[in-house]
Amino acid sequence: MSYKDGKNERDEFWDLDKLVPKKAKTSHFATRAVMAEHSVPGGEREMGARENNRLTVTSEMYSADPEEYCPGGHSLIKRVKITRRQDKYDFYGNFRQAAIVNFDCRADKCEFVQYYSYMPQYSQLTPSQKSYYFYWRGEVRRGNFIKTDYSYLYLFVYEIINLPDLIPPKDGLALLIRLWREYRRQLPRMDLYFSMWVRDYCLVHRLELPMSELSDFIFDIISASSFKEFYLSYYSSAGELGLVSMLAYLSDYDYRRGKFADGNPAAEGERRERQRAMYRAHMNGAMSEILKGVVGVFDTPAVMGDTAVLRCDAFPNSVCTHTVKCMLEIEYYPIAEATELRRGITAAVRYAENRLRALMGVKSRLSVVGLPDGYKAVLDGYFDALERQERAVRQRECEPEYERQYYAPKEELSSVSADEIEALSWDTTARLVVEVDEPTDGFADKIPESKDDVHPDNSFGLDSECIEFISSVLAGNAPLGIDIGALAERVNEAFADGFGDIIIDFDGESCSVIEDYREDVGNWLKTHR
Amino acid sequence: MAENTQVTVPKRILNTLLSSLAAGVVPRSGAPYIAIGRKDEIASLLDNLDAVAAGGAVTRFLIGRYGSGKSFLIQLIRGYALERGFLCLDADLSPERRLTGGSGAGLATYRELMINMSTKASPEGGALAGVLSRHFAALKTELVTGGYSPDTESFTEELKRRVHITLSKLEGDVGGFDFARVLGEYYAAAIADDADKKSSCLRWIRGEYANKTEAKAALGFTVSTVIDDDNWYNYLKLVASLAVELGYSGTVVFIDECVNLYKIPNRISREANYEKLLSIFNDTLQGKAKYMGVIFGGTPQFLEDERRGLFSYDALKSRLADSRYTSLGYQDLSSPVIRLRTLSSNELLALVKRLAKLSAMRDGGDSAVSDAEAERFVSLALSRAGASELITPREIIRDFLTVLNILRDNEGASFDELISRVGRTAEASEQPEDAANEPRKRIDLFDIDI
Repeated sequence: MSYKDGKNERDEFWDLDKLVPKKAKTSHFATRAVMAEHSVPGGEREMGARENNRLTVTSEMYSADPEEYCPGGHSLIKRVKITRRQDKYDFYGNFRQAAIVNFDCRADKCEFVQYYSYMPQYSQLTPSQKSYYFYWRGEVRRGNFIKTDYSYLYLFVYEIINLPDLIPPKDGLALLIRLWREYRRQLPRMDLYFSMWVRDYCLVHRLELPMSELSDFIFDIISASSFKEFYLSYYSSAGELGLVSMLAYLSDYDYRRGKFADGNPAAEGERRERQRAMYRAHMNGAMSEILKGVVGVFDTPAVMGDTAVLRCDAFPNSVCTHTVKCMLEIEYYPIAEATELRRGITAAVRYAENRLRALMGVKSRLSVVGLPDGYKAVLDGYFDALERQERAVRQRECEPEYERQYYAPKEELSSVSADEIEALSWDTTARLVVEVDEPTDGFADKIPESKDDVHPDNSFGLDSECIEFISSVLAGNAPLGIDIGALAERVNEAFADGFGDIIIDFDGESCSVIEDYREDVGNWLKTHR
Repeated sequence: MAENTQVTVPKRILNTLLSSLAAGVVPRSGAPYIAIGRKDEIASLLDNLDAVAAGGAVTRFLIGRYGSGKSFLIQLIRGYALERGFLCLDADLSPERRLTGGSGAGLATYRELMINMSTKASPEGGALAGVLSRHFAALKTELVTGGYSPDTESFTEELKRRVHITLSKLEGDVGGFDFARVLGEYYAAAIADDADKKSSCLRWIRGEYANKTEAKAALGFTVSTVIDDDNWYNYLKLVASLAVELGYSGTVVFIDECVNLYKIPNRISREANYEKLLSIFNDTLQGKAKYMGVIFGGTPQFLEDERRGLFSYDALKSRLADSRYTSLGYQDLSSPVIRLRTLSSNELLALVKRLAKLSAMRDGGDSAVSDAEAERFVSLALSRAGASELITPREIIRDFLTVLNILRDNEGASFDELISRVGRTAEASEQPEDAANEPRKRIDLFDIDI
């Protein structure tokens, strides 16, 4: 090796960098990276395929008569076309024959025997491996998920895939889901393959994915999956974790790794623990409000923009006979490429964190760029309500002990109890209100036909002086030479006793009939003058 | 008592009641018709009024959080007392109105009490002139009935004599001589039809003269004292004694917003007020006051704060604190302190249903909302964040009446749509204005300003 002027004069022969394979950078949150590129041996890229399709493998060997359908209720997938492979040579045809022959085989309990194969097949199994496989398979069929390893697992999966006539697709899907749930911790790499196989199994057999059974690890599924839109469509069935996953997918900022995700470091003990829980709960809560509004529009595809098409072989990297093998053409809405949406969601996540930081008493704030007004309104509505709640909680926490006795006991709302309380309260009302002999809405409602029929009780015990006084006041003529205050008092007392309310308003200098009763007083006077 | 469906409420009272409630203020009339719950507390207070009418005296403390219904309960008892022939005086304390203070804060309270003097015939206040006029007219009527001819000198002499008999009973009490003297002059002015003199006498009784010189100039005669910050309580007792002589059942004094005493920053000033309160308390319990009830309304801090509340004053704490038996969780309603807990969820629901009935009564038809709708309304109100700590009956009543009024005035309005909108409006009113003006909209996928 020689140097000239400080520069390395090696020729390209010695440059090994080009030979070292470079791993594509992946991020759980940046969804543009392609997790895996698959191709069918001998297949070719279709000319003119969209460059942004992540899996674009086709083969001229695929022929016509495809099946096409639109998945119902699948918000991100518009159309699926399945083209059965019409190949003369079935590369794994023997596998299916063997699977059929071995379908009912069982074995007694035996010790675990390791088995490793890149493409597991029956022909590769030793007698002890075969025994263990059949024993293990029998246990799994009974719901006992005993120890296994990748190759046994995949062998069983290949059976499920290749024997739709013996294992009905619905049962097959249930089995796949169960296997995935039970073994993914033990066999972490299965997420990658199962995410593809389960997806294709659902699409090929037109099955609805039971997302509720995958919800507790939806996040990992979406991270591992190469075609995330399939699983993201089901996010609403995956509860909170589905929302979190959708959020993680759409946001460039991972709030779970935020500085204060663990609570305010300045807080201690129970308070910090509470903040931690509050942080998680309310980041998810606030963002779910945003996502409900966003993803809701998936019902109206016109808003979604252009679709993209993904073409790929079904069940890649598996042993797949030609009776099952097919090509999938999936027309979908590539929300992964909606950059403006990602920008908005990222801004929303950061804004939500800022609101939470304010609640936790943290002064620092994240910068927020490009937050849509609609998102801001939703987040403000959510956090304002939360602030009120927190204020009430803090108020209660800071309250002295004696305040507790002034709170009503907590109880369930009950119309029956309320009716009882309301009925009993009339007794209280009765005790508080002076009873009048004949409760009437208007004291002149019983106008007698003639003055001879006037009952003395209807005059409320007032003499002629008072009646004349009422008449003068009603007419607006202030009587002279008498103490109008005293007269007003007498009249009001009499009406308060007999009718339940006063009728004269005396302000210290002048009198007037209360407006509400002017008509009634007029009618009453007609029969009492 | 008639079946509740047959209970009718006088029109004006019903209108006033619902208008006050819709405006979020405590109604001065009609309160009994929405008295939900509080049965034991109300019974205890009514028993106190019976004791007052029998010549006793009582002091009670109504203690509850903001919005728990203290002021409402006060108005309730006040209305009952008026109906039963009591003289009622009420005042709300404030930074300017206390029980005592260097700048006449105590006298300000006394003046407020006198201005708000109410009777059955004058329930809105300003009854002082009416009370005296009524008595005067009653005396004249008695004389006429007794055979005296109104325009004769003997009529006048006899009238003066009877006034003197009534007022002389007051002369033995502290400040009673001047009090009786001024009242006597008032009646003399009434006989002589001298409106100016009458007015001057009323002003003295209301404590509106700053000093004796001013009083003498206005009254035309010498008085040995004027009502001031130090002696106003004595004259309150004289008013109570006078009320009985004039034929009233007794006098009930309501002093609300006592938290303003708790808020006095200066300790000496605050304790002077507590000292005054203690003297009122002792007077009523030791028989030095008769035919008088005093009801204070305040918050838990006002009572129980050990640094600044009544419990910071040992003499009051020993008289007002719970005994070790009541601390077991039982309530002793004969104790001077009545603790008002907030209304429970079902009590709030009962209140809402009552409002629906009253509203239907006013509008002359069936209730605009069903029981299920009322329940949904309350459930929505209580489900708001922080409701259990922050919601008050006032807010629920005001919101519910808003809904009822809208349903009445807008034929096409739907209850369910309204309650959700009312809920959002209530929350929006706590948000910054620009956010409140923006309608919540469905967010489109690319709802972004570029």
